[in-house]
Amino acid sequence: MAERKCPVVSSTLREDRRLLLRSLLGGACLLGARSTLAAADRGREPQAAEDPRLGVAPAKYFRTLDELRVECTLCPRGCRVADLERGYCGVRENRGGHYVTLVHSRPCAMHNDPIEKKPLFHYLPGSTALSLGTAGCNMECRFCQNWRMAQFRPEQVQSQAVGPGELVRLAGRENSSSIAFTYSEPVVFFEYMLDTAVRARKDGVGSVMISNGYINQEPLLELVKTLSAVKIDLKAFSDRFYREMCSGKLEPVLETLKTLGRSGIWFEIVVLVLPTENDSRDELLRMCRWIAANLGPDVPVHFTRFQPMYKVRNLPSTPVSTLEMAHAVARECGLHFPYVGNVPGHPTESTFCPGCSKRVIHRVGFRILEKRMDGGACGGCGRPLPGIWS
Amino acid sequence: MGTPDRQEPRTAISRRRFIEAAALAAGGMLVQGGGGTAPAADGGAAGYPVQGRGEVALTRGSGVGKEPGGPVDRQLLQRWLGEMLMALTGAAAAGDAWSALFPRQKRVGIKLNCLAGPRLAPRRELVQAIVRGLGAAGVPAERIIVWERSDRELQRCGFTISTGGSGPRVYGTDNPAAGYEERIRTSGRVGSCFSRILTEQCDLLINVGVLKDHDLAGVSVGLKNLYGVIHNPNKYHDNACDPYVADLAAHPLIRQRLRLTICDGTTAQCQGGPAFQAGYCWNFGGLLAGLDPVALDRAGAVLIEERRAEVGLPTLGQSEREPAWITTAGRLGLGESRQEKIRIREVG
Repeated sequence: MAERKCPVVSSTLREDRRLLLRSLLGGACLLGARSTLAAADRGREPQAAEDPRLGVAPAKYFRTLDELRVECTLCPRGCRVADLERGYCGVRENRGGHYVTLVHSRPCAMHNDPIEKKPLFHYLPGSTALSLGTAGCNMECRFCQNWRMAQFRPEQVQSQAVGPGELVRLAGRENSSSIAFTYSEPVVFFEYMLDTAVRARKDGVGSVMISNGYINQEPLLELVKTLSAVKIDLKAFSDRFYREMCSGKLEPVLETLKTLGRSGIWFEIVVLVLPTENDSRDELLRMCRWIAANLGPDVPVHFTRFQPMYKVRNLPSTPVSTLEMAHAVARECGLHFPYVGNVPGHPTESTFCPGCSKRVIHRVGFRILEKRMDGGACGGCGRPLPGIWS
Repeated sequence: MGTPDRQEPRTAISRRRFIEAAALAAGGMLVQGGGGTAPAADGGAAGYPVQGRGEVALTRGSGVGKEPGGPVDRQLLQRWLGEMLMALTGAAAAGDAWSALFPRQKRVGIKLNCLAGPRLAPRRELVQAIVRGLGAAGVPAERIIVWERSDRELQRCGFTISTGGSGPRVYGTDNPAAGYEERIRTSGRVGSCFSRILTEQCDLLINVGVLKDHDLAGVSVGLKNLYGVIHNPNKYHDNACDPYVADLAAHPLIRQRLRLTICDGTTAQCQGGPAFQAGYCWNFGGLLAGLDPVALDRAGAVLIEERRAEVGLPTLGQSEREPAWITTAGRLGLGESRQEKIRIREVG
């Protein structure tokens, strides 16, 4: 995962007081409605006013169980949550048998980023995306790059109330082609993402999800209808790695990738390569063969460099030679668009035409130095290149 | 526990043995053994001996806590606390017992469990009694911090936030006076940011839980309440919280500080926790206390299992939430988890 972000809202956006005030007022109405409901559920105990640090809204995708318990059906974890408790993500709470999200319209980081930072290389190159994330995650990767957001609860981070409408307006003001749901894990702020994406689509603004892909099929299919592109972290190709390093499972992520492939939405894959953990040639070979067989050769795969972080501080940064080996393995498996990431200036940051092998997009870091394309085709040989280019 | 033809949970104390122990204790027939303030011979690992190993003080009174969240007699609770601490420490007077545990120069944190709201949280009268007990030991009120995860949880349970003045401090980790540490501290499979209240503002800790069921952990009596010390408790509820509760409790910063565990059983709950559910509450009408946190959790779990059997509920094991973390905590040397080794000292 290349994107790192401190849990703060960027200064340019923070200063939009008018929008902030309006969103705060909107939030107050929402919170008031939920408090009334909660009071009715709990009988005679008076309810305190809603915590202003939270963005409470009804959750989608859960089922009620006996004794006020609920089962979350948003992600494969399937948390069974007792009254007043939260799911593994820390941002979805059972309130008297009603499951709610606590982070709707509550971003704790917001910036206008190059789309290459996501990274999405075949989606509107050179454009920017208004990027945001809330607290919480449904995994706990021991190498989490944004752990101060993803591994905290919403009360524990600084956030602001920014509703879907405000986000779309901000994207317009910042000349952002897209809104990117990113930084932490968008699946856990599903409702906020969905509401924003629906609104953005109406206004001609794209929506992209930067995710671990740990989501059940039904919500994924609903979401895909509203999104423009997706990036999925395929963290390894072993269930052991997912269990021990991420507190997750591999299979649901593969299912997500297959569903995305069938849906026709544009998506790219990132593999963060950790020395000794997921960097064996054999594992990378199996991964790339699976991608070629199940998703086709045109899915871009970004092999990105790990930096010691969070609970994994005993490993060195990934050697560039390892990333180059992964790149070579991908080519060997017939993948057309492997990239090396987090190594600014590396030649394989650029896009090469699989037909004539000429460089069609010259990248350095997040910057595009040159683009030799004719519409959506190679400027040299005319071969159509997969992606969304305009 | 259940009747003889009922399948006994693997780690539970049998009902007969539990009552026998309590009766013996009430008759003064138990030898002090590993009690008092001397370290037990088979005390905890890593240089943190478990004091009062295997000993749990229990007190009950008819009519106490009939109304969940209703008023209780603070002076009665104060007397009970004193008698329990005398039984646990061997001191001749309540003030001496408090002094033996809490030297006057120490800063003492009182960690509450307010998640369920005022009807199933430690009673304010109990907290007042603890503060008075510490006062009797010479601990100045301003060196006492009553705390929880958040100010809101404390306020909801009737506590007034206070970060200064002459009385005890009362605030949550989310108060500007506290916060979480920046660094990750690890202990076994737990890796978390700890509350600064624990790590920077307390020398000693009194953990005050509630005698109640927990939908994932099995029970929440004592050690489970320590999840309120860390920033990410939601990450540690898999596998009925085993080994996570034990791993967290094994962290040196907790082991060094945790001096006393008190469990408020004035109102108890045998199912549907951690939230308050009136239909599963019962008027246990008592308190438990222990210097050995593991023994206290085991004793509390037994009481909850007994109540579950009485009202026809399956055992926690049958409900797939056996609190195996109690056994794990024993294995880590945090205290006595073995049912046959636990001695109940019934006082009052």
